[in-house]
Amino acid sequence: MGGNAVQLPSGVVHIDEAETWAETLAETCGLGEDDRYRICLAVREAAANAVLHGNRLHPGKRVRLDWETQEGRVRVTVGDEGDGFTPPPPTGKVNLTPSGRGLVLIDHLTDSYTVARRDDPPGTDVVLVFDTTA
Amino acid sequence: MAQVNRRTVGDVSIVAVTGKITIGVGDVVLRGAVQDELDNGSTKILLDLGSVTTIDSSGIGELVSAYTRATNRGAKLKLVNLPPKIHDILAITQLITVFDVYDTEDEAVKSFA
Repeated sequence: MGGNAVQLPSGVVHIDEAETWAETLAETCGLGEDDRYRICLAVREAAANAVLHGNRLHPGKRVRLDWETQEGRVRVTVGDEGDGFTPPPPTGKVNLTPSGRGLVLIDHLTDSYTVARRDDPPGTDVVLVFDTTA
Repeated sequence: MAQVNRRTVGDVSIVAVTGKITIGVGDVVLRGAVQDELDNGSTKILLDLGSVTTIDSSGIGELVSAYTRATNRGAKLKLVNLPPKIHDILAITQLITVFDVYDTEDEAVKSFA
């Protein structure tokens, strides 16, 4: 695990810790208010996704957060140890259910993001990319 | 941590939320406040979100649930004083077309008449 990485238990109460971690990284990178807001909220959403839909609140599974900077971009990885999750397909209609908006917000808040299965250790990585040069 | 302040203007129940409407805490506070209003027989509920600092997808989901519960019980639930970032999130989720949203409390209260 790199120096920037942390691991959190799979509980709803720990999702706030993911946001606090993101605040620290934003401060470390000297980001402005808008970038700070979108990184914190996107990391919160990805961490909630990992806890609820990836690890399914399993007490033995962890959520791993890591970040790096590359050429004016901040790249955050949120990894779970679950069996994968299937994002709800776009319906073209307004979602009037209580859930299913996390990836919509992530798509809006990031400059790009990917969801990929990982083999070792098994799990899913959601990689969030933020262009901080604007 | 979210807090709510409840008052009435005429027959409109105003629920002002302060702080974060996020998973596990703020969404629960919002749910409880709206449920209390419905249980007390309120049929005109105005959610003042002017002092909300952050809302996440769970908070948005709770707004939708509150709207649905109110509508199913014959009540009306409207929003006022949306901070720009919350307005932005409601726009990208297309929910801005679902909620009745007002810029001022006076305008919102009159709309219930």
